[in-house]
Amino acid sequence: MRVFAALVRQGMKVMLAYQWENYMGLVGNFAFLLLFSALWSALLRGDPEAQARMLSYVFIGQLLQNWTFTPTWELAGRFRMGDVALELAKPLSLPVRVLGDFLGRNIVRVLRALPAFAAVGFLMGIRLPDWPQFGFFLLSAGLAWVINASLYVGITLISLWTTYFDQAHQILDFLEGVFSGFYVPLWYMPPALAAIATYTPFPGMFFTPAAIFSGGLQGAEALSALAVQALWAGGSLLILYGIWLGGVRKMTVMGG
Amino acid sequence: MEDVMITVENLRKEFKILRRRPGFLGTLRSLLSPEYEVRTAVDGISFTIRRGELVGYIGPNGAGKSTTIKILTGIMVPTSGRVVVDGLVPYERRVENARRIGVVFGQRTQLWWDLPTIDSFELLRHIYRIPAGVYKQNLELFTDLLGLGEFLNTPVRQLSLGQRMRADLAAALLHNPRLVYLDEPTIGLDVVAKERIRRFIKEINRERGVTIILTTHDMQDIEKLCERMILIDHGRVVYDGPVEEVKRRFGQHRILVVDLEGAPEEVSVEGAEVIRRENGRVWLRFNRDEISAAQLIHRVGQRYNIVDLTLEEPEIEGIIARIYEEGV
Amino acid sequence: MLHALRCYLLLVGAQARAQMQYRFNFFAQVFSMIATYMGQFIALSWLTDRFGSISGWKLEEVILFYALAILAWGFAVSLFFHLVSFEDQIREGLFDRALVRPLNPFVQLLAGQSPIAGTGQLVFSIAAFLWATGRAGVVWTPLKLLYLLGVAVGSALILGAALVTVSALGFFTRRTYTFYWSLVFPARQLVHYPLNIYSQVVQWLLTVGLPFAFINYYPAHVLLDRAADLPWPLLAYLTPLVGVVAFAAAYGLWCLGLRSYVGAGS
Repeated sequence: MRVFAALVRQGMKVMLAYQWENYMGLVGNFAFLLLFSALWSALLRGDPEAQARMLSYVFIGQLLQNWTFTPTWELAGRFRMGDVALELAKPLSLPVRVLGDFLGRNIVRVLRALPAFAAVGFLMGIRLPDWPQFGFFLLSAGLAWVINASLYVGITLISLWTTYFDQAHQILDFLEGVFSGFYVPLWYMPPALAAIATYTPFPGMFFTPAAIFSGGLQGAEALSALAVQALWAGGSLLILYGIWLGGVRKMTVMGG
Repeated sequence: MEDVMITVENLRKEFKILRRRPGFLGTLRSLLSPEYEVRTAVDGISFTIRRGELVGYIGPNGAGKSTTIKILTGIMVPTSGRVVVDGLVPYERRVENARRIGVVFGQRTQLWWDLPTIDSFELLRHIYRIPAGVYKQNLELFTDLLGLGEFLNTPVRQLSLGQRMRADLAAALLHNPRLVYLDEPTIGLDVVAKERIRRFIKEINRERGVTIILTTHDMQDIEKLCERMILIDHGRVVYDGPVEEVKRRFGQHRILVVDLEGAPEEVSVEGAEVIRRENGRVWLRFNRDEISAAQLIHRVGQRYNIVDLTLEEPEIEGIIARIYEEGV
Repeated sequence: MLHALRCYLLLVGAQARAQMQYRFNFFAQVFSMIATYMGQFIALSWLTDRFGSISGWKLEEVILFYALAILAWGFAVSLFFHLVSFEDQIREGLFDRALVRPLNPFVQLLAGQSPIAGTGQLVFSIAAFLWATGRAGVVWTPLKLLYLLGVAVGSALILGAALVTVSALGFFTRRTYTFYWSLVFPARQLVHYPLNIYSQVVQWLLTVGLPFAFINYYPAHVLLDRAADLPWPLLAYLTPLVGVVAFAAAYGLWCLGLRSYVGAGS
């Protein structure tokens, strides 16, 4: 645990050096916020309650983007340069180091984004949820980080054994785009698909925390969504670990 | 003035470096009211180079070498001073200047990485608008002199470093430039490859009268190729003159190597400094203005039994290294 | 000028030959495109399913906006996408090579990409566009085809101008990727939806500031024979002109950037 904390601190230091990227990233966030708030305001004209909920949903969604940002292309670049053997020689396994690094960076990104988001949220009239609900949200955001980071790092590690890593990455992007609720929350999906999506890991990457924050998931519904999310957080870690072990075996047997 | 190729007068280049402030508000403030630090890379350099000269332009890393070369080639505009290259101010007439010069950056190739070597030459022919006759004649000549024939159809990325450098040299000379800048043309090459490159450089300087500015860290390049060298440090010219003169001016130190009988525990001789020891063999550095070699040998002989001795003339390599370390 | 054009074509040809040395997986690229755009497309269809229309536009029409944007992007990627990685060239000192050659460095930079690299994107874009116009019930006339050609060129220039601007900012800040991903990419997403969902200010910004509305929103009105619905129908015919003006302005900024890069006027 102490080693992991050191990794997180290292990641925070790295992120502190990326000032330009960070603040430009905020500009991108607000462009998307503009897009989605305009879209949902237009679609939900005449239903002020649903409108307010969706505004809150897309607002927190953009803040969550900073929290679950995973620059896996840096990792993929390192693999392409052929540093993998070096990675194997280190005492601490690669997934642990990468997760620590990403967590540190994400913490800095969110802290840097908070003042600007607080100001914009105030202007948009976004209200924070009350206490147990806010606690659920924080928990759910934590789980969302675990699922995002594990799945994306796992997909990147696939490049250890196959050249189709780009395609694997795109399939994950595609599934996340469709089922995570980034474009359309589960409420407005075709009901049959939404029912299926509920049990996949994808809503746990975005929809669950955003819906809890906006009050769209409450009480028992929120708890059951959290339970599914927690299961998938464990599942994603197992998937990551499995891909890593498979990759290591392939590396050591085939010699890279 | 007819025979002057390059005039540099009081050249200065300062870089403004943005001072960064930490944090979000800091970044915002840096954007609104930027605060700069000034670093002087070139601090009042002057020299002239005549047509047909082959000059070594040397100095330690960060001395202002590459900044000067960038200004001369038109890539950079100086803060103040006057530069005229072949009658043009390079950074004011960059394209026209580019047509008349050739440049080899030893570390980065000018060639198209994934294409056969000959394709790069063809592209350059069009970019420089080289007349067909000149192109053909030069290509034949360089192929012959540099032995390009064996790899003209090989993609550049598959060439050895030596082959690539030869191809780069040919590429820089295809358009008959009157002036060529060579930046570390022998870096990373083995002895044989270095010799070949040096012979070629000498040849085009002599036979075609091409003016050559050579920057290098390899003092052998300077000794074998250049008659004149300009040594810069901290953005100033510290020496400009014949290569031989450097030895006389800065090479007062010589080294006496003696083998002493019985390998004495401690060796010290008045007027000389022990710079190295290996068992009985001792290297003594002395200043020839203060003590002659004969006097020193006499002194050593008084104290110890000399088995054998040699006197080392100063190598330019060592002299330059000392200037880098200690200044002039 | 003629020399520059000739050199541009020769250099692009060289890049294409260089690209062919590597295994180029056309199908992998088309697959990527499908994966990239399909998600958004499915989301659009769900929204129109559920709400009937988006600010008065039916699904078929929204798809047409979308397809026009992808078509323009297909051309822009083939010609200009490498500008996004310009910061690498600056950092590694590769751009200096262009400055010691007697050819406009802008031409040399533009010629730094193989057009083949974007073929998958382009073929997918054209296919998606044809399908969308079919569904939207666009009635083709020779005049409309000619109009489409003008729109395609103009749109590619508008997007090209945005990418040239990104590379110009690279001269000042030594960064380019971040400007693409934080400015141009989100702005492209904005016009994937009908412009009239946005407030007047944003519509005005996307017309005058970052004129992406000319890529798809205004031209779609002509293809659907609804140009008369625009507050000012002439807007629908300005795409080529806007493209040329935007590209010229971006080139101006690029030249300013180059001046700053070589240390003049600072």
